[in-house]
Amino acid sequence: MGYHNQKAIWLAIICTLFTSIGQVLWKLGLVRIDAHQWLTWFNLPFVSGFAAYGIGAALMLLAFKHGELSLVYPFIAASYVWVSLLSLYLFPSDFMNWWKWSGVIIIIISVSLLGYGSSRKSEVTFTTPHG
Amino acid sequence: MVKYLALLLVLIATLIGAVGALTLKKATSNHTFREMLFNSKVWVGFFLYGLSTIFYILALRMEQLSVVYPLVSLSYLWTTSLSIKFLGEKMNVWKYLALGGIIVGVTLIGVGS
Repeated sequence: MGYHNQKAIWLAIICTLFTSIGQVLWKLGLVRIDAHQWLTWFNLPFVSGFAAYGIGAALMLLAFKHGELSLVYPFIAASYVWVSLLSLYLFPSDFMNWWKWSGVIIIIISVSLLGYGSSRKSEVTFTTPHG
Repeated sequence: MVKYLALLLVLIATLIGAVGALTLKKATSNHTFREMLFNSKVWVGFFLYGLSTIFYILALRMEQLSVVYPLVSLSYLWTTSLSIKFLGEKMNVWKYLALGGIIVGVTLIGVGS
């Protein structure tokens, strides 16, 4: 079980990287869209965003297959970290502030705790011996 | 003034998303990737994700991220509760701390946005 959860964690991390890159690509692509010219919807960043999201979705399915839902699903919050870091370089107008930085740091600590907690499932538990 | 309709829409979005996640988890366990692609439950799961996104976008048109994000983070609470109830997954102190931390972290990012 521990091995499977570990595999799920790696899959979830790579999944969030792809979905975060997808979100950033969409944002880059959206500004190139002119609603009156349909060809502008097919600009490279926007279309690549869908591809990145598709890969992310496939990786998420594999992560779900291998790991517990109570591990994999909250782990996807790691995407907030990637999006914040990517935005820092790509969208200088999207400023970071202390609120956002503390949120990012707390999420990093939390997903680490989540991974740690999943590896110690049988040792510390709230369930009763009869449950 | 907070728009309560927006809050309701986000709440619905998080509940639908959580059910979608549970559906996807059930559809992927013990299946190969090829089997998953032909499993209708997987597509039901993705449909629920899409539906949840529509509610979320509607809410974002009415309210700011600082109001919406704290509620979005509830989806982690719903999904974990469903995992315990329907999948028999076990929690421990670390996982509860992590869940609380993620909710606080997402809320803080929302407040700063």
